Amino acid sequence: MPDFPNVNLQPVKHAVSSIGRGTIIGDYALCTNTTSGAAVWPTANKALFVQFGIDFHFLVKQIGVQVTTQSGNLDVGIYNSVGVRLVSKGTTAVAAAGLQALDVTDTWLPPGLYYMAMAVDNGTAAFQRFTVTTVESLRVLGVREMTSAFVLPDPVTFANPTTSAYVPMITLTGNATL
Amino acid sequence: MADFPVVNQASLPTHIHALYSFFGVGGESRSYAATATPAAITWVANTAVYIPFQVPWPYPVYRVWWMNGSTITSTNVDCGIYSPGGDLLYSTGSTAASGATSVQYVSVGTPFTLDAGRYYMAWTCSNTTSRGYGVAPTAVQGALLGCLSQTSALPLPASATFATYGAPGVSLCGITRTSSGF
Repeated sequence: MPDFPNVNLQPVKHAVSSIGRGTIIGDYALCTNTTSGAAVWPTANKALFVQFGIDFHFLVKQIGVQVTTQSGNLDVGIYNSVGVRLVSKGTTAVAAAGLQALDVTDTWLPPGLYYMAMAVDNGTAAFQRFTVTTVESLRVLGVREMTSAFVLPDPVTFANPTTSAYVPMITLTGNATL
Repeated sequence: MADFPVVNQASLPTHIHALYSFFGVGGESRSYAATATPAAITWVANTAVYIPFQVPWPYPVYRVWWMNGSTITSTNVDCGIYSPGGDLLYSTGSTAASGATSVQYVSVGTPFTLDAGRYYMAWTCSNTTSRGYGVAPTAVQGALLGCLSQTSALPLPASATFATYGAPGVSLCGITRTSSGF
């Protein structure tokens, strides 16, 4: 047992966002004063992964996204830093425009580095997303991808984004209600 | 039993940005309209920019990285880390730029750990037109971000001679605790 408190990287949070503090891309978003916008999913069956780190134990009950155009199916989930899937929703019909809250199996995340993930089976559905000017820069902003990855695979083979600078807006929460 | 605060290194970010991070000048740069999204910058040959950053915990460095400009022909880059007093802690040495508008990584010879504290990330290159990549604040803005510069600084000197910021830009560069990937 340590004599001193663990060093906190961030305050204990109720919800963790793909572009919040705790993500590299989140700092970039704040620093560039760039806001999100709606865009169609870049490629059918592509999965996108956004790195996040937590230094507190975090229970995930729900995963939320913002739909702007309904079409087909999506899948959301969480992976550890080496690409092992910890939890996923499975194929789910994309909801009507607005908040889509996906109830996942309650999953405790110990302090560590993870990826929140999203995959969509078509290129018509659209979601609120963040973007950057140069897709190449996503390599150092903690964003990864995998093609032909619907439903979310286990494990994943991470690749660097090369064609689309699409960063899905995803929120994890420990609340039963999102 | 640990006598000192324990940091879970597994939760440390894989990349530390000197520019777009609250560990670097990102928090302050947010206030300046000019320091927005990055782009290619026409550099001043052999001029180094020193970008302050800090790590609040020990951070293992396996590679340094930077984003190349949109033109890289006949261009060498040197990227490194300095102590607050201007002592060179690590540099890549003069390195041929590889990959236009791409991230370039250089593995450090022997991985080392930066103690929690303040440092400068340094970047310089040998050519001009569109060789740099980052943001281009005004001289006053760059100075108020805490950035410094030095002319005739390729390769990066063993001891920096800090001058008031006069570099053409603040480069997109940083360090990573990953030895491969990304």
